[in-house]
Formats: sequence, structure tokens, C-alpha cells
Amino acid sequence: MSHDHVSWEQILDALESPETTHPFVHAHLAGCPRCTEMAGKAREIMQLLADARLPCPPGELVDRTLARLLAEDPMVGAGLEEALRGLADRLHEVWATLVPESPQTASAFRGSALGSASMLRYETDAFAITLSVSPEAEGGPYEVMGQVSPKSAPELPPSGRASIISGQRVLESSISEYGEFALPGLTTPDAELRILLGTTLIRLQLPSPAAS
Amino acid sequence: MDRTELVTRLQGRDNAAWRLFITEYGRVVFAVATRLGLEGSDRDDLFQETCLVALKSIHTLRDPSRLSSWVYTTAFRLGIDVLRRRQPEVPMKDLGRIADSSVDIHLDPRIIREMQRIEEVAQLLDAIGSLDVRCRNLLKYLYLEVPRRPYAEISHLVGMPVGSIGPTRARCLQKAEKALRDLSNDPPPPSTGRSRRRNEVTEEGPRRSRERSTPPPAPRSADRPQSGDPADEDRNQ
Repeated sequence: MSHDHVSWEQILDALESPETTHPFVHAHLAGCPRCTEMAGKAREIMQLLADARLPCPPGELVDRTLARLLAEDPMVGAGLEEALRGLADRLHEVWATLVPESPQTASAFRGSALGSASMLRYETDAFAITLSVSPEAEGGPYEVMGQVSPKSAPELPPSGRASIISGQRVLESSISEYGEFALPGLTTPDAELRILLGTTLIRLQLPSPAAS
Repeated sequence: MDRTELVTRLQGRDNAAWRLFITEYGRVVFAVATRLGLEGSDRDDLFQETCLVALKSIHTLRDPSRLSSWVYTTAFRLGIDVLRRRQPEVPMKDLGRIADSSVDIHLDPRIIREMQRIEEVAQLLDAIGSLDVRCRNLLKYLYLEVPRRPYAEISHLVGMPVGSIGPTRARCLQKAEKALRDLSNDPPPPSTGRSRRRNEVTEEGPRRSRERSTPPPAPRSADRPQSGDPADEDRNQ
């Protein structure tokens, strides 16, 4: 900005504290269309900001609302294990099976296949799950990337979570609206993968490297 | 946390993200409820219903940068449903008519102005949400919190000398003003074809809306939430 004009900061100061603003700023604003227009924009956003100071909802209402969301959808809990407990009486559990023609190889579990992950396809009556298991470094750990898609329903349930128990750790991932998930850090490749979609728990067994 | 990360975490049913959403974005919902004249259990019900619809619809939100406007839209539509159910109680004097024909209810012009203002505020919050983390935080601490914090505390929170707050806030406000203009000039992506008429309203920017004599507080976002009410679909036809 030319030094002949006032700055945005000077305009803001003039709007917020007109009594302490240098008279030059007021005089300039009175005679400069460009700076007057800028002052108009600044005034508008300052007024909008003043209205944007909206009060917070009461804490008690926030707590009640979160509790209601949890009751409505246990997935809003801390994790899959907790969600499973909340769903105990409504849970529909199903095992997914590896599709025979799936290019099942265990090479992805070996360092030699670094960067060329195997694709594994599993199916249930209602869902298809495609997995890619690739070593993050030679000899592991591994990253499981997957996508779950409905066979006939138009879309997935709005919430989903995938989980693998790897040694002493539980690896968890939320499932995107496109059914994608990623579980890095797997140290025991022959683990069981669990996918919770709504009230359906899909379980599948990753192939053991030793089986290949 | 930026908007994209927040929406991703909301879609992933992250508990902490939902608490943040209810607390922060609930301010827009609470403002809609109270300024529609709802009190007590009616106000709380609208608040909870809006959050529930958000929970069920968050996966449909394609543009995280418009989260506040999306929340406004949800709350407004559900609020209108509440008023429609108790229409005899709505002030009938000096009626104004919402231009959005799918919202078949008469509202007091004062309420229309209040709703329009909240929508503009929601758009400003979206604009601020699109800024870098330093500007976001600075503007939040300076202008959006009740009660106001002293400069010394803000200086500590944002990690900048007190003397830098003034010049930085000026630059951040200038960025926010530009972001608001960009949001206004950049219509949301087309919706999934639920309502052509709604889209026509939706694509109007706030600047133009402010120039209208009786602007509709109708939802503008193409990321329309699912109300879960089939009749709602019918009204949009």
C-alpha cells in the first residue's frame, strides 16, 4: 500500500478506538474514496464479528447431547471394543471368507515384496472387502490397507471402524465414507481383522505367511 | 484442529471431536434455537435433534470448509419444523414470508433478520476456519469468546508478543474478509439433485443477500444435511 493511504491496521484502530486515533487517519478517511471503501469493508466485518460472539450452549446440555449421540450410535465411543460392548444384544456377527481366485500370496508379508503388496479379496453375503498388506520395512511391521464395499446396498452405514489385535496392541481405524481404512504397525500378520459397520461385525482371518 | 481434520474425525465417530463439535458449532445451533423463540425443552430438543442429524449426515458433507453454514442449515430447517408444528403460537403480527417456498411458514420479519444474521455469522466462521492456525486462534481469542480475554493472556495463548497482536490481527482480519468474499463468490458444489429450486437459493452469496430487502434465511449449502424426514424430501420437490 502506498504511504499516502492509511493501512488496514490504522482503519481497524480508528474503528475500535476512534478517540486515540491520529487525526490524520480520520482526515484521510474523510477524503479518500479508496480508503473509505476499505473502511466500509472493515466496519462490516467488525460488526459481523461482534454478532459472532455467540454464547456457548450450557455445559449440562452439551453433556446430555453427547450422551444421546452415544446412545444413538455407540461408535461415538472411545473405540471398537467399547462399541462392541454397547452393541452386545444387537450385534450381527459374520465371518468373511477369502475368495478362492483371489491372488493370495503371502509374499507381501516378506521383505522381498516391499512395495508390491498383495491384494486379497474377502466376501460376506452383503459386503466385499479388498485388502492390501505391505511391509513398512523389511521383515515388517506391516500396513493393512483396505476397502469395504456393499454388494447391493447403495452405500455403507454411516459409521464404521476397523480393528486388528497385533500382539499386545489394538490397531484401530475409522472407515471413511468410501469404505477405506488403513492399519499401520501390524507386527503379527496372521491376525484377525474386525470391521464394525453399524451393528454388523465382519471378522476375517489374514493368511499366515507360513501357510504359503 | 483444522476443518478437514475435524470433519474426518467426526466422520470417524471420534468422541472428542463430537464433543468439540457440540460445544463450538453448537453455538450456532443454540443461537438459531433461541432466536426462533424456542425456550426450555423445545430449545434443548432442537439442539439435540440438530446434533443427531449432524451425526447421521456428516458423511455427506463434501466441503468441510462450510461446516458452520451446514450446521446453520440443519438447525434452521429443524427449527422451522418445530415452528410449523406449533404454528398457531408463531407471532402473526407484521408477518414476513420466507422466500424459500419449501419453508411454508410465516415468520416475524425480526426473526427473519435474526436468522439471516446468524447465517452470515456462520459464513464468517467458515471464513475464519479456512485461515492458518495462527490467524484462526488469534481471531477466536480476540473476537469470538465470551468474556473477552486480556491481551496479555492472548499473547501467551498464541505465542506472540503483545505488541504484535495489533498488526497481526489486522492482517488476519484482512484475510478473513477476503476468505468471506471467496466463499460468497464460490458457490458450493452442486447437490445431488434433490432440489433445483433450493440450489438457486443456495448459490446466492451473503453479500447479495444483504442487499435484499427481505432476504431469505434459507439454507444455501449444497451440502444439505439429511433430516431423516421423508416429508422433507417431498417438500423439496
